[in-house]
Amino acid sequence: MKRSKDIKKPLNSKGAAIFKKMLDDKKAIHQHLMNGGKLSDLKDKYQFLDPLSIYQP
Amino acid sequence: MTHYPFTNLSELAFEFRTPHGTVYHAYFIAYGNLFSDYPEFANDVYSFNLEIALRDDIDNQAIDNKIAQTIVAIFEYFFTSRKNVAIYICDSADDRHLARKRKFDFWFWKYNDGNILKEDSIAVIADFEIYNSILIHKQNKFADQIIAAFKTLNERADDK
Repeated sequence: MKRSKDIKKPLNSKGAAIFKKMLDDKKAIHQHLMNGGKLSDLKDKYQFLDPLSIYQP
Repeated sequence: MTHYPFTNLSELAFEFRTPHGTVYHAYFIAYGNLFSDYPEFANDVYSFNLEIALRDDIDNQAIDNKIAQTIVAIFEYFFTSRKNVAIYICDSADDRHLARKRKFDFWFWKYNDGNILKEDSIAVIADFEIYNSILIHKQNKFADQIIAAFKTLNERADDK
């Protein structure tokens, strides 16, 4: 039986799933806005940072 | 440094408008749930995104430095909480991600006052690459650990 040649496959980064999730979310939000949607439609789907909550003296 | 005034939009994003009428939304999304291996800073990690919400009618190709200055001002505001961490992902959907990265890098180089640390890397996923950057305030007490974690996440996994 012939051994099949080794198939070289690219190695994913250790955090590939994290970066892919961020990229997928970014694309989905962009598409939503391009289709006339508003960020407020997505407030339950993503955890947006409230700008007012940032400042901590 | 002068920038466009930005306002808070529905407690979700910063909004600013250029004199030509283009409206931008800059927003941060929390991703603490994805960084559970790093509990010391997981809850402070956000992705940063910038979207054009309304494009001006005039095809204005002139370089507007105030847009960059406004983004910088938003980051300065973001980093008033020293523990905050921002990750910027370059969208490769239209093959313009290198141009976006160059623009982001240039803005950082030109306007960073030295308080923000930035690390760049490339994550590999199957057959494509994601250019990404992390920004941390230099007074973040976990800065070294965060940068180390970021480098680890971008390293290729051992396939053995």
